[in-house]
Amino acid sequence: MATEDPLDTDWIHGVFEVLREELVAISADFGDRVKREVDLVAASQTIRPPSAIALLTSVTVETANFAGSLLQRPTPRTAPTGPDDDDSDPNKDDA
Amino acid sequence: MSEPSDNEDAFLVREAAKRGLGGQLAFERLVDRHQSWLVRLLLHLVGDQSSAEDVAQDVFVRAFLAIESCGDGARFRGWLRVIARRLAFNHRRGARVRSHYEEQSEVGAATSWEPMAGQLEGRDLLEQVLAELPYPYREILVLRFIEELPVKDIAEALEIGESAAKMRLTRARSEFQRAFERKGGQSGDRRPS
Repeated sequence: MATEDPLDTDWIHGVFEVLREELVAISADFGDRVKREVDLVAASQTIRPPSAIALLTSVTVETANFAGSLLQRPTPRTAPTGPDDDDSDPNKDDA
Repeated sequence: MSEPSDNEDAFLVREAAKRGLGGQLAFERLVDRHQSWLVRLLLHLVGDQSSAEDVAQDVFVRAFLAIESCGDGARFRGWLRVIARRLAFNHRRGARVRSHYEEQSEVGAATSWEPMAGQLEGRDLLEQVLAELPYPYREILVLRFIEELPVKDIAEALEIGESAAKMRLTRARSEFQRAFERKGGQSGDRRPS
């Protein structure tokens, strides 16, 4: 980077080399933390329509609910009035 | 020090300013591109990794909220640096108030620690000298000798005029040299040629 006055010949520049060359490791989840925070802020500030994450989550939840409802067996009645009313037993006709 | 392409920054800033989901994704790309540099800068300003990451997160959030005021997106890093400097200053001020109350309970028991000449070497010596300097001097030395910024960019980051930046840098250098020599460091004036 070009500078107005020569850095390379400055003795203090040489002293700082140890910090300049030092590798700084950031936490592995730092970027994710920032993005999550930005997402929350964006949602709360109504800067944009529903959050990308929230949208994705809601679609996933809705899809799971829908799939679950298709797979779910009919709920048996809680108080059958008699043996003839209990048609939830698939083996009933076989007996 | 290599920097990400200014053109791509400019494009991403423009996209981010449009807001919406696309804007958010563009901003996230800016986070990816600048996070390492920002945490590193803040580490040298505030002095510890955990605080540096906390302040960096705050910097990004504020930048996101104010992205429309970034102006020239190609100067995104410079703009981010101004926000970072302000928040680092606030963080230091808060930390100083906290440590003041902690020190009050130790007055009389502790004496200032002065190492013997030659006792400290390299990085430790530098850290000790920086920690001892008034914060505005530490700040300008970091911008000059770690960020390697020209005076013009330092003035911009500090939000002061160029002549004021030059004057502060001169004073910071003198203070640094005095503290450095006092702790046993060999300054340029005393180094064998």
